[in-house]
Amino acid sequence: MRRFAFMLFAGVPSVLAAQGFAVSEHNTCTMGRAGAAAASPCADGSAIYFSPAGLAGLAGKHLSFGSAFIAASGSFTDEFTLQQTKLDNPLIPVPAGYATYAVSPKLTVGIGAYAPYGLETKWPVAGFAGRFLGYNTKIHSIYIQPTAGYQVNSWLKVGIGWAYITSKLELHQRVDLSTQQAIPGVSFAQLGIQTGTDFADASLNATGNGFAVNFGAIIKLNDRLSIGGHWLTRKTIKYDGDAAFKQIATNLTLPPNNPLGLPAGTPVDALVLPQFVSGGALSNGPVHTTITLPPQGSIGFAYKLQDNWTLMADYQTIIWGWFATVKIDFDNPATPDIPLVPHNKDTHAVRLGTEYRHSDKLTLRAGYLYHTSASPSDFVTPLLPENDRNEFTGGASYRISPRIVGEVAYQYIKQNDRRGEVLPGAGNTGVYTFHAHLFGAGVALTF
Amino acid sequence: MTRTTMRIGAAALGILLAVAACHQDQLFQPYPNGPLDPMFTRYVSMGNSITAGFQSNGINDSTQLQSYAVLLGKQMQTPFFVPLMARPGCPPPYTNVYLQTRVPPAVPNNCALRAQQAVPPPYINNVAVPGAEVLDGITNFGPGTNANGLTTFFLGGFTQTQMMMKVNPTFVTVWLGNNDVLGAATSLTNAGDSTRITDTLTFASEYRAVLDSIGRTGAQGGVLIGVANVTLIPYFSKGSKFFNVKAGTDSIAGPDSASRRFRANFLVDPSCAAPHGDSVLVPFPAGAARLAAARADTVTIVGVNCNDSVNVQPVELVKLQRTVAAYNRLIAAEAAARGYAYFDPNTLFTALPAGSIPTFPNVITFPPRAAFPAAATTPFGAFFSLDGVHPTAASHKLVANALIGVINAQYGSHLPAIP
Repeated sequence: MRRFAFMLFAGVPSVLAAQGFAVSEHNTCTMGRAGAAAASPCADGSAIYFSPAGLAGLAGKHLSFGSAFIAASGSFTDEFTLQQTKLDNPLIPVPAGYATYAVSPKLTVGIGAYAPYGLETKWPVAGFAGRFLGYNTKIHSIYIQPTAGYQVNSWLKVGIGWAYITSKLELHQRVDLSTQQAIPGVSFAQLGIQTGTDFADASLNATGNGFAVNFGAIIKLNDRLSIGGHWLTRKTIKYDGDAAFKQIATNLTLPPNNPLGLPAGTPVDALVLPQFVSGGALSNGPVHTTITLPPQGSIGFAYKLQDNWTLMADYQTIIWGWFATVKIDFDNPATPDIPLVPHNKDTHAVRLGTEYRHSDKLTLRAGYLYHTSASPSDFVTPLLPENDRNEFTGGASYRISPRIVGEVAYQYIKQNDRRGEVLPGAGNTGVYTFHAHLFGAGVALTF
Repeated sequence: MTRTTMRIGAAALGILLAVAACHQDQLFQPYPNGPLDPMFTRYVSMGNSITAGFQSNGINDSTQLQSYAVLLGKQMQTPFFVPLMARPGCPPPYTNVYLQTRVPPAVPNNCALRAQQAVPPPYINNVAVPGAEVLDGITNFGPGTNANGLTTFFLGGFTQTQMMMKVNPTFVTVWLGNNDVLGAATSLTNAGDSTRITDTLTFASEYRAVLDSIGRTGAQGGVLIGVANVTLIPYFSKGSKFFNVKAGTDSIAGPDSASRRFRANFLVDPSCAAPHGDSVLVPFPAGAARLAAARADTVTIVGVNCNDSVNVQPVELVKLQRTVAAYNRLIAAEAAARGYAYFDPNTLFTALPAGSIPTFPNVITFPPRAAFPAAATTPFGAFFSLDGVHPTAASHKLVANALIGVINAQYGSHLPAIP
């Protein structure tokens, strides 16, 4: 026993497979129309993410900034115990900002900051069986993207941006003594240690960076109909950081005649203590891993029903299937590295949006979107218990002055209930529910 | 054009919404209708070897699932997690009590480990541990406790009450106390040894401590099961039976006339004659097992002496029976005082048709002269397993159905009987 072949961070692939890990609410105006912007992005610089070609022809100077605020609710109901645990997520802000400058009537340049891949899930530690897969997970990936849009001719616009990515990964989970090896080939569970015996708290903090390219084109077919699209390339980020382990007291003592052959009264905590000291499998130390932020793209059209009323539709895909393996590499030789092989699926979304200019001051927006999930049925975990989603949006712009426009938007996410897992290796033993209210607010300035 | 486009758009949106709404995963629950009654949402059974599912001097994931507690959980339609032991068991059950063979294969220390279950039990519902006396319900340490390997395998360092409280049960059954007298009755060196009986005052104090622990949970109901009259089990045979068979006025079961009698090298002391022999209980190792040995080795002379301390003597028998009665009066009173149901298991077994519990085991023949499978398969009849002490699956079903009747009567529930 004396050496653990221990299992840690086994739930990571689920996080990375999560469709919800891809965030699309990077602009209040676009949020109001369900993110449909490939052929006709909002005229506030947000084309830098949604469709870089849309920068072309954007006259003058524009500055826009704002944030979406995600109020998520969810639960896991264990189908055996019927115990329901509620998601404990805080209100999560997702800020974004863009600035553009028209160099010439044909060429516009700009820079934007947005976070297309991000996640935070937080569950209560006490009593939640899924804490051994992860009780608090955060991924922040910020893209800072200088971009240029060029009007090639009367019907073609192209654009390209080069994004610097800075990413931060934070994972927290408990470690279950019952899943550890007491002696080679024999787990503590086989000796009677109960499922869900916390004996360590593990955390991983790491950062990384990289570069990606975002490019696209918009074709104007006639005065009413345009088509467009963009593609944001993938980037494999190498993360470097630290893993930290804190012992959690089990307060268990071995009874007489125990199968370990140890004296009656032997504290289990003393038994596992050597694992936490320097050189032990659960001693603190550097850790490295790599995560592929997958490529994504969309194509769509914009059709002017009337001069003041436009209908937009986009198809979007994120190639999660390219995300093949993850290896969590501990510098500590006593800590086994963890190879992970997720089985993600590419995701697909349909976004329908409409925009109605009620007056020179007021513009109204609405939209609906549906997207599939990336997680296969055997990787639905507390880290991001995702499923296919239906989402409904609405928004409005109000011109406060000739140079200032205020934006608001609302989005409701209803995720289909889905069976998922909370115990490593136990399969799906309960049902996750999820829904969220998103509120967007922003300002667009024109100079 | 505009109107047509709007109609197409609206239709497309409607179809999309309909498809999305239908695209739910199959949501499965083990008991789609939940427990039969909210009172049975989390059922915990406390006890000893009988409740744990010990049979034929062994236990494994087969015998465990035959326990009355498991059967009761199924009827309640409530999840019921059992600390399953891998095959062949710990120890593996007998396959033949006379040959002392056990379920293969042989395993180190005669003990396989806990089974690796597809769904690791989030908690344990059947917290009963073989060998447990009432004191073991509340502590694993100190004088008089009986923690063994299975205590750790089942409870992982917790006590029965601690594990019970972790589950926060809504319903509890307690069948503790048998071992507080059984240990005395089945002592290999001095069967009936009164010094090994837990005195009734201590028993009462320990039993109340267990019940107090249950009272601190949200349990809405429960059944307290009385102590079995250990002198009624087929592990014991009356001394007078030996005397009468030897005298030729009685016989035992066997495939032919020779095997219904004792061989010449198996002697029975006159002390076993009635009336003294009627009040002497000869335990299986000192009686039928010796008879089997005499059949295997016709040269060596063995026998039964009813004055031998290895047998339960008349005074000891009285003490055992009085103790059981005293225990059961206390348990019944505690049940009444605390609003629990009470069940006396002795009524169940004494009501069985005559001959259901054999007065003498079916004994193996050497060399085999005719087929007599009962000696191997049911040496103690259909209701007791190959050790003569622990009930078979048939008995567990009887107990479960009796408990269902008691529970329905006490709480107005509608648990269905097991067919």
